[in-house]
Amino acid sequence: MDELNTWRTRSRKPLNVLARVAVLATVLLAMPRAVLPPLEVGPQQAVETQHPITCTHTRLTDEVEPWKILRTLELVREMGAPTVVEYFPWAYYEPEAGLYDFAAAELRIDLAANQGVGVIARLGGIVPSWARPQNADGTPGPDTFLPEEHFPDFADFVAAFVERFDGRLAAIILWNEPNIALEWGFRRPDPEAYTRLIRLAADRAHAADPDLIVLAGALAPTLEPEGSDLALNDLVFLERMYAAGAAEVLDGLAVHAYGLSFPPDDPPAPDALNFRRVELVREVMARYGEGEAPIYVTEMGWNDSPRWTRAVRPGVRIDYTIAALAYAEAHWANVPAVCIWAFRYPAPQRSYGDYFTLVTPEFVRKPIYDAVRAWAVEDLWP
Amino acid sequence: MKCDRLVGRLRRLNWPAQLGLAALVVAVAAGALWVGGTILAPDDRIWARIQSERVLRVATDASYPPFSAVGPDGALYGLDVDLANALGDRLGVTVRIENITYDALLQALASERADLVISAFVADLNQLDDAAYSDPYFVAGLRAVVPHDDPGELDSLAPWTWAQARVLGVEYGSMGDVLSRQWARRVAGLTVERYETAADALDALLAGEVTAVLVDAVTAHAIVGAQDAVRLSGPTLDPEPYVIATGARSPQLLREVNRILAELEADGTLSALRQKHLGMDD
Repeated sequence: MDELNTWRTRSRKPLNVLARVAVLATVLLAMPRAVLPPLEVGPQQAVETQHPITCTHTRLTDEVEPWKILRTLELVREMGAPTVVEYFPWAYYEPEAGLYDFAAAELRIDLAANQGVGVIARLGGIVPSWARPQNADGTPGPDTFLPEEHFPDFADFVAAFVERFDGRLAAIILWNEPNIALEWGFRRPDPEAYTRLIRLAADRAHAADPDLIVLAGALAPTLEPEGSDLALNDLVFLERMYAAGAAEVLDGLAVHAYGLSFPPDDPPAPDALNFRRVELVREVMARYGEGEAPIYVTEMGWNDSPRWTRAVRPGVRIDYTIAALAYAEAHWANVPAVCIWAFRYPAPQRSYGDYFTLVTPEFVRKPIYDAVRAWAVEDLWP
Repeated sequence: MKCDRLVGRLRRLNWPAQLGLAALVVAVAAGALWVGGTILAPDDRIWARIQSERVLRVATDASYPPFSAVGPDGALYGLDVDLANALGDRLGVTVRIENITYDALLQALASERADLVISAFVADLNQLDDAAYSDPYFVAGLRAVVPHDDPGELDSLAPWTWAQARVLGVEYGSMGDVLSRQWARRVAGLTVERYETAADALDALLAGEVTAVLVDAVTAHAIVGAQDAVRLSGPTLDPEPYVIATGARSPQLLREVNRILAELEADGTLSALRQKHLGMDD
């Protein structure tokens, strides 16, 4: 298989390596300093859509070049999505306690506004190193580990973010998937502790902007039982959140609703992970008097990787995605946005995750993008 | 002051001399790093354990035939399973294969529950803290399949030229569909027919309804291996090389894996495995 040879590591002869390093150094020394052209932002745009429920989760967090951020948001607008979810990791914006640098967030939110696209800001995720516990060797601990003594610091960050973007946010989401250990510092998920965190943060957010919609972090759909160190069933976690008083400070919920290999109208059941699990979330909300509060489906979708067992064929993915958007629009009250994960990654992941996207890192629109656009803008079904 | 004098002398050198000197400094530094890296390389605990216990622990997600799957008798089979056993044979150790869900494969390395991942695995460059990757043993991606007597050959640098005036079959929504839409914008006369599955597109080729298809490499090799009437055309497009993953701190094990992969390639073992499981002629 000759083709494999192009991928193989060549023998690393020291002189060969040194010669390459020397040539590279010479080129770098001789190269003029790169100057990026200024970003040309056009006139104010508006999203044209027949289905404003259409939304997508962008991944602009790690996008470096401003023109790519703008191009992404242009494509979102052209697809007929008036809203995006975007992630703003705490650690990126408060590198030292009390020292905020919101320039990167400003660029993203300004460009979205220019395209007429509203931003639901997901706050949290990566904890700054100064707020994490230390490992035994003195290095910072897991980057999703927020000790309770630093909960007020997160609330300070949320307040600062909301004050900075006062009136320019569609909603905020506090943390992400706190019911899995991965997002909770590799500790056993703790609904009561998470509720104490969001009570602090939501109060500060509302104090900064009383009209802002504050959502709890979406839970990861999972069937993990009580006592598991890995995760906790999302419905159980939610029940315990409400029992701990979460409803008193929240304006609604963010929910994740992946279809996996099931069609969008697959009926909900406590032991099933599917798109309509959202309806079970609504039942829990209703038990605590929150049956009319909005649900934002901030991640949803199907995967069409040939390698992943929970994926579907590409054509099926297209059909399911459009059908799910239409189902939510027709059957679910108070669901303002259903957001497809994910619009585009800045770089290929080289894993099945690449098969969740609508647009490639090179801005090539996949057929699913065209299908969503045709439905949202022209009301055409695939 | 001596430092100032030295800087002054350097500034008086002409630019080729300055560049040459810079290159020399970088070369000496790189050499020092290389020598230092060799001498100070961390001990490979995983390799030491394999040597002492004579057991190689392999993680695979047995849900992806023909690479790794569970047979009716409950036994694992596939190219990856045979490759794991071939590695064990060459190392002179017993192989224990554990069926682990795809999402947890790299965690199995990080937690040292497994020594290797052999699972039709594409290198995940976001996980370089936890894993290192071998040379590839198969390149997945997209392949063009044409009738055996097709006169053209797909050129990866200008594939749209090859596609001109063809009737191209693809699976709807697939990366083949994505590429064909791009080509259709660049050349006239390309007609794209979309099918529900890659197998349907290949059936259309055999029936003469299309003049070429663009489908995933595994499906393409299977049909070419089974049908004399068609052949592959050109290289793999949008390639995804399958590799073996080791823990990031197992340099000795990785070297051994690469050495044995080269041996297996040279003596025809890998070629025979690809023929057996994928119907693939190298």
